[in-house]
Amino acid sequence: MDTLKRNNVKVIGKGDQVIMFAHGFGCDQQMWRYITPAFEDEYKLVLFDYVGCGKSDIEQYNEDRYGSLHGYAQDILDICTTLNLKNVILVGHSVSSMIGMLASIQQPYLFRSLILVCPSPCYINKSDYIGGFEEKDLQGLMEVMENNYVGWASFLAPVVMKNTERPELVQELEESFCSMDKEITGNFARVTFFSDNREDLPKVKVPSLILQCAEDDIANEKVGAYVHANLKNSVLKPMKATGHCPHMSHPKETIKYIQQYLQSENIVA
Amino acid sequence: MMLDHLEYSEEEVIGSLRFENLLTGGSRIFYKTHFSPMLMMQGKVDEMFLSLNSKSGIEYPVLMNMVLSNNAQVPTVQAVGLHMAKRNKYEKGILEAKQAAEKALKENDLLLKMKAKLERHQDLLEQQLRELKRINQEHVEFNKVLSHDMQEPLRKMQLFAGLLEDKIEKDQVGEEFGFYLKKLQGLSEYSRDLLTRLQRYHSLERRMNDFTTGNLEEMIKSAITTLNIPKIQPDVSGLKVKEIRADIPKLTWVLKELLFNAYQFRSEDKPLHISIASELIKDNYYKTVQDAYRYTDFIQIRVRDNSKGFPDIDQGNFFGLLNKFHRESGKGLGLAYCKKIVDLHEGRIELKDNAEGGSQFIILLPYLP
Repeated sequence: MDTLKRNNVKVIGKGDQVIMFAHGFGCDQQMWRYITPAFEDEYKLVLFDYVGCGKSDIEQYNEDRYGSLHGYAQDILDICTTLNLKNVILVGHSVSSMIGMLASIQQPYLFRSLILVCPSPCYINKSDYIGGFEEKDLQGLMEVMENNYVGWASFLAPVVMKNTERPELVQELEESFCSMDKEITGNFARVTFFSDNREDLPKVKVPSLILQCAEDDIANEKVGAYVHANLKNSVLKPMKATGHCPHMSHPKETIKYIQQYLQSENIVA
Repeated sequence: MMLDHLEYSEEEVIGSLRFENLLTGGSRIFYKTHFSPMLMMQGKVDEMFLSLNSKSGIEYPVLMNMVLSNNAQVPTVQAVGLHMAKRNKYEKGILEAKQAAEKALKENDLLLKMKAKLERHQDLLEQQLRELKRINQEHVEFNKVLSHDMQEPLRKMQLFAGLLEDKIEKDQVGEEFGFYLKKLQGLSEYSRDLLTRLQRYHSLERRMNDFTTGNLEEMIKSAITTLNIPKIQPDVSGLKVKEIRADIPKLTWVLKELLFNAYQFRSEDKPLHISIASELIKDNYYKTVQDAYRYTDFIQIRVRDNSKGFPDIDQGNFFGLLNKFHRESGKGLGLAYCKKIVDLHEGRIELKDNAEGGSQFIILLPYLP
């Protein structure tokens, strides 16, 4: 199995130190396009799509594997192993913050630091924790997604059709930005938003930077503070940027804070 | 018009509520994670289905198109929407039927796949069991060769060498002869010792103890006591999981071996520092079956040191039988032995570079509560 093809891995940049960018739920590696130019000259940049997202090889999707965030973490670890990456700086957006943390717990020796853009260990409110959403909101998310994919061929349909040898019915996924398959995205949403990874935070040994947006509806400021309080060696940076995708809406500010953090790290090292 | 439906007055919305605030929780998530990035990248999104929430919490489904315009000083979003309650009901009906059909299709497909998979696995199992039987047979025979057939000639060699030695003492042969005889004696001694160790390694399966519950910290202490080397004082503050179910004496032996390893290859220019940490982590239970995944609990034990480390850490097979990587190495059995013990626990052991210099061993053992 070809990991680089499976995850649509792209390696760019002129440097040696590796920065790996992991996209969040609902999108693909293209979301980093405003960030990468600032690091191309000095770093080696690794970009990829999780299996089932963007231009990854959808045939490699395995429900058992990707029914757990650990399966997604395995994508990151597989890429590191295949490219023999070490001392990796991992930038993860949204759910990829958590996926990155899980990867670093499994193989801490691979990572130098984690840059967590809008992280949340748990999106659902619990008796002693405010994640921001109720279970019914997440049920609502499933419905909204279902409604948005009325006209789409689902992932399983083509697979089944291929089995019944009717290739003429196989439909290509729409080739647009953040294109996604209904079935896979539904599973990804479930595993993203129903997971509770709060217990994993203290297990992270790698130093980290938390970028916290203002008015983030997905991961609010309290959640950011919670992550910071439970993550050893973490720096919390509140941003002026609003929303949940500062790397797209406010790339300059995002780049500035990442650079600042990497510089401060160099001084310590 | 829309505001009426949502039961808001203009003042309540304009300038005080964001678009996101009007969305239901589920729509808000999908809008922020999917549509909003698309809008920023493509400048427009067509045919978004979203649910708005009225002031009193009634859902108001809409189909929307949005365009991002950068002409003004502040980027603005222009949106048009269409209330689609009736259509939505109709679509919901179609969706439900579609889902039911998909589910049936999926289940049918799954069953067919499982059936094929089962047949494949049964064939594979038959082959593997046959192979295992053959290996086991060989194993028993090999053990007999190691423990008896090869020991005997070596014992006799030593016996005859001893007889010759008597003659040397009686000065019946030359000095050179004596020198070579000593060499031969040394070699046969070494071979016998190696043979004994190999046999011990080979028969490890049969000498495993029943699993009991032990305490990692106690086991480390016991390993240190056995070693009795004052310089070995590992930092155990990183032990987050202490209770462990395993063959405690054998696992203690592994810890002892790794500690001794760090000591044996310590750097001359800095004081020896060893740390042992443990953590409960998740990993895939399946390591040999392809495309099978179940993430279960493992205890991860990390033994890190600031020793000279190992050369070419990415290439070497450090756990291979009789592989030696340092001139001061022993017989090249220690790490092979460690690996075999860990394997017999259905675990894994790996050797990695330590970022702070030195080496680190990572042991993964299934967590048995």
